[in-house]
Amino acid sequence: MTSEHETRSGVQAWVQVHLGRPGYVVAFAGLCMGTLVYFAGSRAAASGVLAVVFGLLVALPVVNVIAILIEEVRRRDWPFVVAAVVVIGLIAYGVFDRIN
Amino acid sequence: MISSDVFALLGGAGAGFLGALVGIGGGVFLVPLLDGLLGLSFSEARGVSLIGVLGTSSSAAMAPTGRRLVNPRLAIVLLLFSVTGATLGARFLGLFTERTYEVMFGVTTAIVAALMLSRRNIRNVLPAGTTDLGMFGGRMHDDDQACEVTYRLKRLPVAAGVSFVAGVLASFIGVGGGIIIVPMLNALCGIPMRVAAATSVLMIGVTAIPGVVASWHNGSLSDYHLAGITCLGALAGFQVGLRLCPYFPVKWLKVGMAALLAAVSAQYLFLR
Repeated sequence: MTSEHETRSGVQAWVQVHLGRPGYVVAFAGLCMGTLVYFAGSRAAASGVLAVVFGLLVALPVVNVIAILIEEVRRRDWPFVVAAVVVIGLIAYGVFDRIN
Repeated sequence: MISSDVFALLGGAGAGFLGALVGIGGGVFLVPLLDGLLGLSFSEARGVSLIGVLGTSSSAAMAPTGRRLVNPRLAIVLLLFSVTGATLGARFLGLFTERTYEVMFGVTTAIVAALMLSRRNIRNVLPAGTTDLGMFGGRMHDDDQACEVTYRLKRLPVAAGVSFVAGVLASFIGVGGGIIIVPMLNALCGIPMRVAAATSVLMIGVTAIPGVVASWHNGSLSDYHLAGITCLGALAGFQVGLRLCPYFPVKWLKVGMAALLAAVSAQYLFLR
């Protein structure tokens, strides 16, 4: 299956191949490593590894939004640029509001 | 301990599998499994489930580029509403009792099951020659008809409102929101099932973030090991689902999902 969106979206394809896939592979490897370390008996070290992986998993969806932002800037489609910036701002607010 | 790990791994794999097929994060499947079978409290199940949702969403990056059907413009506009809802939901997470969240979960799954069954024959595709596709329309190859088709978004305000509710529920009950967004886009807003599913997978990861951070912050995401195993299952299950996706007819995907949702709804509304 192909869609019109895909053929118009070079930035998103680049992000998928160069950031999304490596991120997925690192997350998968990290989860395997964290699980093995846990079964080896070092629970504190396993928690540390898994916390880093969870942080990566939180970051990956944001990368997709940034890719859409770059694509819309490239097309000079300002209403969608504003929408993407607001979404990123809302995520940042949601994260820092809870941390603080 | 080992048996709970196996259940979590299989549950995560099932969630990832469903994510690839119908665009949901699998929270609707994971929360009852973690809560009912593994004995976690609802809030702990919610935290672990949201990590599984993040895994499902991240797995979409592994989909072959040419097969991605995401509508990024529609996704970004609906994310405005779903992330706002999720942020508000995360802020007021401690407002209700566990039983209230369980009832919310049961009612949500019942409504979505009814919606899916009542509109199961809707395909939402237009002839390839249609020119006025609007700002959010698109063009794709339809495997079921083996030809080029187009689609056009209808009722944007409905999509925006439902996305907001999906965001609130994502934080409240530990689902990514796909279970609400996919049927809504398909049944009410004119989007073909596979485009709705692909767009939803992009949205659910972003919508889950406020809920994950809130769960992390309030201590309900304390079992990192169980969350890790669940997420590992989700990553693997998504890859299997991705390969089997073209062999599942859309109509039967809807019927299967509706049956699963009805069972989950009955569990939370009547069997507790």
